[in-house]
Amino acid sequence: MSLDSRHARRYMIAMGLIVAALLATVPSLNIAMDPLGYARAAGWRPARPSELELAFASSGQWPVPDGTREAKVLNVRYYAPESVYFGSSTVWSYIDSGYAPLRTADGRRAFNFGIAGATARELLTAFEHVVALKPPARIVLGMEFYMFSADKPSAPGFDELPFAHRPGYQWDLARFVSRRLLTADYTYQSAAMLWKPIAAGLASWFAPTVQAAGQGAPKAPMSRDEFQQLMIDNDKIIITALYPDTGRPYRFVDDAGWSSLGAIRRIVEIARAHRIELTLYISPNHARSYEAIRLLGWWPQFEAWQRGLVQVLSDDAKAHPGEAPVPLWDFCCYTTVTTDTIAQVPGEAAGFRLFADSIHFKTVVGFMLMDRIFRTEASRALPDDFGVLLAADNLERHQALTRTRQATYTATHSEDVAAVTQALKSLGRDPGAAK
Amino acid sequence: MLFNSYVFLFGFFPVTLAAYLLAARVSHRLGSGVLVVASLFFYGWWNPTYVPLLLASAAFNYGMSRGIVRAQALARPALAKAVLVATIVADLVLLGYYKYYGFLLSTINELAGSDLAVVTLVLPLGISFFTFTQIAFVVDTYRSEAREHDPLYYLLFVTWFPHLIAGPIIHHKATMPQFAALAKVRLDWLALAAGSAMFTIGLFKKVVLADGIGAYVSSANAMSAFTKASLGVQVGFFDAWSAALAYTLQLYFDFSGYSDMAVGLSFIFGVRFPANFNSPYKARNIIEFWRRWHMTLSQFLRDYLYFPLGGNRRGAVRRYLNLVLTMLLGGLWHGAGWTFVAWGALHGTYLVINHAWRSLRASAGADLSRSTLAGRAAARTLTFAAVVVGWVFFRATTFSSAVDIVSGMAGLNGFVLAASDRPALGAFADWLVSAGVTFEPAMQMSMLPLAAWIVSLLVIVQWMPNSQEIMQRFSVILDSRDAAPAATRITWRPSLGWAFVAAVTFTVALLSLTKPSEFLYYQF
Repeated sequence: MSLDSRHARRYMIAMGLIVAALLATVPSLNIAMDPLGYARAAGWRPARPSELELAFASSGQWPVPDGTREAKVLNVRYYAPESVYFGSSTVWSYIDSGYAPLRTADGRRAFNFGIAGATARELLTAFEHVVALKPPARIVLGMEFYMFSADKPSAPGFDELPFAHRPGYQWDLARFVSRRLLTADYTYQSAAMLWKPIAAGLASWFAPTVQAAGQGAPKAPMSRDEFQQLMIDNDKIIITALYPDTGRPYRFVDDAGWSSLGAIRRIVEIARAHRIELTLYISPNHARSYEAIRLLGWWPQFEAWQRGLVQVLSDDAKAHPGEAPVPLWDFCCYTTVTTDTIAQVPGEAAGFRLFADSIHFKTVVGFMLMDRIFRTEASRALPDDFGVLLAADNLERHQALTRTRQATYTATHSEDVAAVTQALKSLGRDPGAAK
Repeated sequence: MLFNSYVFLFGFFPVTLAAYLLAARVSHRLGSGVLVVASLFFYGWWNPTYVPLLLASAAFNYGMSRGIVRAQALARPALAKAVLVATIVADLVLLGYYKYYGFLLSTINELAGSDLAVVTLVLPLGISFFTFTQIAFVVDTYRSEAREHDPLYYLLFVTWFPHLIAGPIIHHKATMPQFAALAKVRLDWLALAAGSAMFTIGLFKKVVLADGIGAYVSSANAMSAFTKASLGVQVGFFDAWSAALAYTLQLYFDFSGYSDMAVGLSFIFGVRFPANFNSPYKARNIIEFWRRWHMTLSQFLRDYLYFPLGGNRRGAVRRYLNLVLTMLLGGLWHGAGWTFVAWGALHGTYLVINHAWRSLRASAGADLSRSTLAGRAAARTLTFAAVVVGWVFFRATTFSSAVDIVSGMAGLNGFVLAASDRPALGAFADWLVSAGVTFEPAMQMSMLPLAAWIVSLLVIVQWMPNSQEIMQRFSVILDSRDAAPAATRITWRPSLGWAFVAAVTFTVALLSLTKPSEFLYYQF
């Protein structure tokens, strides 16, 4: 063996030993520091949350932060809630799970299981996961039309998460958390946690040299036109994300026979089987988003969706006589709340009063709809057209009234309709095309 | 199967190496046979249905090359030429069917207003690479520059897993003798150490650097300028430049990382590949850029397209025409779309300008071999900027979105930063506001982390030694005039210090393998 070969063999052995040593050290360090909470969420480390951390936990942001799908799936295991609020980003960002009627007798907050851009498929999986962990006493589910496209896939990585209703859950959970703990990102953050007190100690050696940063010249508040343009840009992103052009008509059943309305039927069955008090509602989006659905030629499907939901609940009520029916509240489409117009108070930025954009209502609307659902004292002050309890006997009338209001809105809000049309056209989604 | 996956690193590769060494002890041919089977398994891992296609393509080209040899032996040159033409046409038809058929139909629909059903075919992985490799072989067989009598070595040459999916495009003249001479029967520690060092550099480039900055320009990132432009949302100056630079760096680290891994893997088995990259962003002109970027493709286009078109032998005008045509086809090779055509046309134009400028200076009596430091810096900056603009067309999903981003880079869409960046900028933010920059709360990506990535990676591509320079003490790549490594003090050797550096680099890369991501060039 030549000298170079001997060196090379020594090099490879040394490299292998160092890699092995590093790989052995990393998980220990990461479990000890647990900067992203995975070890706590999996029960590998004891957790003693503060009040603030408990509040974060109820919103799905603790022990694993950020409130992503992954975080919620893991955190709900840790939180073991009595009440759960499912839905999309409107729930995630604008429903306060500390709302009093949702709390348990001992004041425990509900768990917010809102996931951005959720699909019916994902909601069913999350629902089954929560129930398999520990059936809650009460569940509220906020639904959006876009969730029910059978062609809308789950978010990347969602199906690889560990779900309690699947066989081998404990093994899946252990494998999943181990993988997360064995990442460079986790290690950097663990090292940063170690470094932080050292850095703070070093910093105290030096005199504070903090300098107040200048605020600069104040910018003129956003004008009405600027806000409208921002909303058009926002609509493009929302339409692309929520109603992607699949090249086929909007449908509730895919080629494999999977039905998005079937997912709701399954949710209702599970709730019945576990005696969970379930409430469903159709979320209030801004009228502009309903205009997008109409302009895409999908209004018949929208009405079919409402009919499908009512049918599921009618069937359930017939199968369970003598038990309270599952309520379905409808907060869409062209109501006093959802036809909110762009307003500008002098000196302040222009914007909707009740909506952040075409899809997301503001927190105040979240409280309003919960007031309606839970029939609180405050609900008396709500507009009459905000929240209708849908059933087989009032569905046709309700849909006819919606169509009338739609025609009125289209005629009276030409600027908003033109804005949505512009967004669709720029995406090459021919407005008015019946798909 | 991806090089950057656990199944490859801890399953496929060690098993293949061990199986090869054991089989090679029995016989040289058995060892080669093991490598062929392993390569086909590697290819089939992605989609086994295309393994027969790969085998059929190899069998067809091998058979036709034998036919050419036989026709030439029978002194029938016309027949040999007919077989050659038929082979090339068949190869291009196969490539065209999978790669350009849908594009052709949609173009016809757009131009003629027809409604032909556009078929979207799944592109067999690596088809562009194995087709070009074999066309070169058949052409050189016709030119009596290549001969391979053994179908096993030919099959190994075509399917050899380190290069099969995304190159380098290997040339039979340099690699075929290496396959025939594969004679390792025991582990070569030096090859293992040097090859694994090269592989580690590539792995780090891909999973830490390319994937790290790539997250900012991914299609999944709604705030990326490329995503916004594809939706028709106007892209401002900072958004446009940061996205263009981020993609420029992502593409380099992704593809050169893949090439480094391929070179390292192949070297462990005793087969050296040609260099595919040689610090392309250090180029001082576009001609030099193409001698440093995707070098094996440039050489293929030069030898099998530009020269047969006449090269520079038929006057300046014809030379420029040939250059543009070569680059247009080079662009189209990358993908079926007008953005790739535009990218090719742009580079063709750059090359014409570059050659014309040289001719002009030479005719004015200037000494082209002399330059000043400022001149070199300016040339390097200008070349880099031109390349960045080109990558915008390469990456954009539509021509109009590419134009929108270039408009943004020119400052025509305003100067906007995210409001969340303002506190960190302190007093500098006030100066920016006074200079006309606005800070918006919505629809803006925070620029500061991305800026940190861009600056760090620019330092690496502009001033650090490249992988073959680091490995220059050990000939892991084939010798090449274009890839002669520059002198550097950072050179690898099998010492304990380097073992520590390699171990840490490999571990960091390994810990970054949370979500194996495909190489950008897999789509070509």
